[in-house]
Order: sequence, then structure tokens, then C-alpha cells
Amino acid sequence: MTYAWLKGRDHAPKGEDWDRAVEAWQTLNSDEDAVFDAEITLDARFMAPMITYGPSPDLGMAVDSITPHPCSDVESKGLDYMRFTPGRPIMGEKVDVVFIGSCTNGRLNDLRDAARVLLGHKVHKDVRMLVVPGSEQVRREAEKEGLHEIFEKAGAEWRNPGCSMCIAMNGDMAKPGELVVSTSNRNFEGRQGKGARTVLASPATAAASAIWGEVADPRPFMEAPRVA
Amino acid sequence: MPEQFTTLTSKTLVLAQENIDTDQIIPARFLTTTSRHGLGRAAFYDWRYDEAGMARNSDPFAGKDAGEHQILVGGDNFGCGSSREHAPWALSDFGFRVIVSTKIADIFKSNALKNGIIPIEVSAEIHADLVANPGTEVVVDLERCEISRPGVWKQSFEIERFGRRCLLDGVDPLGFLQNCENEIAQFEAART
Repeated sequence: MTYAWLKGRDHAPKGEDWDRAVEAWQTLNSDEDAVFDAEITLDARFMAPMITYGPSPDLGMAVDSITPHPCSDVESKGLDYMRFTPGRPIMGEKVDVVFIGSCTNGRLNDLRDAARVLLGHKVHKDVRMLVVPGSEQVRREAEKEGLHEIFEKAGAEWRNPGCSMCIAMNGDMAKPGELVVSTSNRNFEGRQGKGARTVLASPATAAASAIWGEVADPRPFMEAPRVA
Repeated sequence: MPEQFTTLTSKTLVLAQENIDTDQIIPARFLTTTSRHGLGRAAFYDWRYDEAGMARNSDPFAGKDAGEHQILVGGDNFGCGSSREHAPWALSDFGFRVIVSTKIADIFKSNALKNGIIPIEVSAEIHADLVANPGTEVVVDLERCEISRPGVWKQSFEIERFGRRCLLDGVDPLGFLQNCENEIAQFEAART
């Protein structure tokens, strides 16, 4: 998978150099008898898209599940900050801002995922949605595929690459108390603006939430035909 | 150039909350500066001041003289989150010289040491004692790599060696190199 992604990229080796590089990389596998601290097996068939319920990336749950009854200070303070009730779904919570992109989850395939969900739909009238490609290269490739048109037609803002609402330093920020569904990778208290409440989610979940105007499961939208 | 550090005797200031991330230590909106001076006011800003910039009743630093409390005791996983050199800058400018926790996040730890703050990880028992006794006097001996509450306990700590050397000498890594100028010149001469 990594090789397929690297091949043909700007700074990747070319021609014979590429073959030699792959050969060298293939020697970097773990030993047969390597011992790990923990081995985790995930069965993707039974995994739902994940979201966060508290202001730390590790406070996560399945999008179609309910918030936990806190068993630590961190969990109960986290739920308090987010104004979520223990034992309740987050799906259906009213969303103010949807942010897709910045360096995390702003890859071409992330934008394709989001566009595929949005195609033929509109961003909810009460939601502001920003889409920020991960780099100039991603922006160019996305525009070549016409993804920006899908976003703009749906009512989202197609922006230049940058940090934008991931760090909320440049004016792109949420107001106190606003709920943001964000595909960035940090959701600490105040991260997206003082008092802003961040739910981390995948690009598809973020796009589905933008359509509904509330935290939503993207899977029904994934049945839709692929974006060319 | 960091201030030389050999031993420090100071009172502690305790923030027992776990997972204090760098966005709490210094909110991102203060990161537009590349100077480390004056950032002390931004340290834990949203914990200390409300929307109107008025001191909160819950300000954990209220009434604590920074000069008297140079040792910050934080909860487990202190300094997690974004890599942000401004975090140790802010703490240092506020007046802290030592951070103590059961676990200090890796990037913050390395940034702290390079900016004259000693990151010290202690056992859960020692940490519990520090949390239970806020404002107690603690001695940090960097030469011996020991932290103690005089008459109560003493524990040795691990610290990255080069960072320790620099702080004992009161130099940063560049200063360390400059002090090696003679050796470097000799080496260069031998090569040509």
C-alpha cells in the first residue's frame, strides 16, 4: 500500500532507483519472532465510523453508539465540557461548523470521500462548512477532478491549503459553545476557539453531518454512486 | 542562553489534573510570536482569565508568587498534545524551572529541557504525596539527579544526559559547541 502511494510521487526514486529502493525497503520487515507490547486485531466488518465525545482524541466512540457513563475524572470532565449527557447518543446533536482538511484528513482520498457523500446534497442552512486541502498539490489534483465544484455547489467554502480551523490562529475559528465536527486531529478545550466544542470525525462523517445539520452516520450516503 | 541549574529549593504549585495538553498551557492564539519573552502572561491563560480578561476565581495561580513556586507538579501525561515550543517558553517566563509528573509527554519533555526547564518523572507514590501537600518545599539536585522532600522522601530521576550537561554548565547546545572551539579547531587542523 505504501509503495503504491509512493510510486510516481515528486520526490520518490524513479526507474531502476525505484526497484532498488523497494528491494531495500522490503528488508525492513519485523523479524518473524518479533515480540510486541500488544497485538490488536480489528474486524472492519463490525467497525462503525468513530467520533469523539470529549476534548481529547482518545475519548472516542462509534458514531451510532451512546456516550459512556464516566468511570474517570477525565471522562466526566470531558463530557461536561462538551455538554453531552452520559448514556445518550451524540448523533442528532445540532452542528454549527463542519471543518474538513488541514494536514490531517486533507488528502485527495479524504476529499473524494467527503465529496462522494455531498454529491447531490446541500450543506444544511445553519451549518458553515470549510474544506481545506492538505497541500497545494492536493488542491490542484482535487480541482482537476472537479471536487471543488461539488463542495461549492453543496454550499461549502473551498479554501486554500493551510491550518485553518485545526489550530484557529488565523481567524478561522468557532464561537464559544459552538459544536464543530472536524477532521483535524486535535480537539482539546479551546482548540478551535475559546469554548468551542470539537467532535473529531472522518471526512465522510463530517460531510454527512454538514448535510443533516447534526452529527450523522455517513454510511447511508456511502451507497451513493462514486464520484468519477 | 539558559540559566545555569545545579540545585533548586522551592515550593510547589500543584495542578493535579491529568492530560494537561499544550493548548491549555498556552492557547494557540498566543503563538504568533517567535520571542519567548513576556509569554508568562499567556501561560494557562484560559484557566486564569475569563472572556473579558478578568481573573477567574478558580485561577490556580492566584496569590502564588512565581518566584516562590518554581516547581510545577502536574497530573499524569503532562504536556500532551501539539508540539509547541511556546509551552515551555510560557512556563519558563512565568517562573517555573522544574515540572514534576508521573509521566511527561515526550515532545514537551524534550522542548522543556532545551529551554531550561527540568522535566522530572516520579513514582506514583511520590506524586501522590506532592499532590496531597501543595506548596511543600522540594529540593531538586541536578548534579545527583535527585529530587527530595527534605526529611520525608528522596528519589533519583532519569534525565537525558546532554540536556543535563548543558544545564549544569548554563549553556544551550550551540553554546556547548562554541565552548568546544579549541577541540574543533584541532580536529580541523589534523584533517587538512
